[in-house]
Amino acid sequence: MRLPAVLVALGLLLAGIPPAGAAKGVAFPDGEWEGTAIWTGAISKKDIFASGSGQSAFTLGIDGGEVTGGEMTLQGTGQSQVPTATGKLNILETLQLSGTAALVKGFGEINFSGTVNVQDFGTVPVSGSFPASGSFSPTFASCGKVTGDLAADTRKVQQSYGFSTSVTAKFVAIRTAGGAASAGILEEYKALTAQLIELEDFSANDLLALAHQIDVLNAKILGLGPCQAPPPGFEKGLSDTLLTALFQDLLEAPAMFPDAFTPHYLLTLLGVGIRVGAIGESVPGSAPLKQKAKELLDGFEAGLEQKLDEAIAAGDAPTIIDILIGAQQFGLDALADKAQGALAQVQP
Amino acid sequence: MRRLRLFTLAGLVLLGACTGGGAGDGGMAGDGGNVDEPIGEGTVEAAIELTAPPEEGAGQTPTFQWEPVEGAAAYRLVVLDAEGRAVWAWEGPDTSVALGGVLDRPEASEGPVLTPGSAWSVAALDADGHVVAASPLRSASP
Repeated sequence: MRLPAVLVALGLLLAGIPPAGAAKGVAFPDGEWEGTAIWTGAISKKDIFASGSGQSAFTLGIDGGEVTGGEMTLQGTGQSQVPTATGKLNILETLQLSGTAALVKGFGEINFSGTVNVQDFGTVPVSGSFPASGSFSPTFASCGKVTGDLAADTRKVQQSYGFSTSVTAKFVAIRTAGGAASAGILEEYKALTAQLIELEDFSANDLLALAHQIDVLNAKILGLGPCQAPPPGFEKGLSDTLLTALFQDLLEAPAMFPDAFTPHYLLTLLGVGIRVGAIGESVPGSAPLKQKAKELLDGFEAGLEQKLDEAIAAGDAPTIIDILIGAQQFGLDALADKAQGALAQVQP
Repeated sequence: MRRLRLFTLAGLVLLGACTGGGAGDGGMAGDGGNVDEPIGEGTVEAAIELTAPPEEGAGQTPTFQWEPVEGAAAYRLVVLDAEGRAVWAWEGPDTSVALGGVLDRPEASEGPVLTPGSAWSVAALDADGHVVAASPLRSASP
């Protein structure tokens, strides 16, 4: 009977501490924190497959760079498939948090209940629990906000077992101010990130409105109170990694496939990308984010050049002027030079 | 290094005027005038006047301000660093905005900061997103 393998596949979706703990400069500043994450993704290896989604929440106390206490819960659903068996489970993971401000560890258990269908045997109800562990590190920290991916270390474990994985659990934690204010802000942030994840069809104005919401939220977070010193690993001038990643995903389509977009739309989206730190010099430090930012910038520039070529062919001077001014503003010198030359041809 | 240059909108307006077109299809800069009949009080007024911050001593998170432009539905502001790379951008109907979109940000907060040798500019857009006026590229250092 393949029942244990089905459960092991699901268990691998969630937990594990990689052999070597991450040692990064970024760490939670001292204080009390409350965090939330959307957990989603899948793992696969040959004929073994598991996927799931859920919500995670945690509280965390940090003093002198050490975790003084905290708890994380993850509630969700998962499906798994191995040869001759499939499983469908509700999952509740509870971890007690310890470790350091740079590498938070969790130990606890996963409770599950659901059904497993075994070929030639039928569907059987299953429930139970097994030990669980996990760890995570922040990738961005400011006085009032910390972001990262709860599943970053989990992915390393999954990969060490030979699985390909798309599991992510991007989190944001807000410094708690001992009242309803911080909880409300966290809920707003959670709603905003959920909106960004679920957004499919959007206009430039939709993204401008979201960028404005981020400004308002950041102002509220600053209102929770200043910290005494810059947090460990704090780099001035950068945006938070969570919003950067989410906006980079959103901007991929218009940057890579500009045909469906007007020049004005492309210029506005390029501006939004720079505003939220998904493109440009405010992109936070990790190499994948910076690489993606460069690809997006190159994509927008190529898209605008395509629009410029179309405007030149049509003798459309106003559009050439729009692209010229936009290119000059965004520092796209080669594009600006081409637009300048084109304008002289169109309007000799 | 960033090529410090002024926007050429006034020149573009003149080009447009010569052929009966305008810088952006209607708006203060290009309402079909010609060289003999300067647009508005003259093509110089097609440029947006930037009023703050000062070029030196702007602080790390300055508030940018400019004069409103008739016919503008929105403004696009972009801040470049000393290398000419975009650091921050913003688009909206207001005529002032703090760098990073949040007023009075403290030191250890997220978001862009002004570095020495930076520069900024503003373009005014009509309701269709066409440029109706643009500012010079102006230096700003903390």
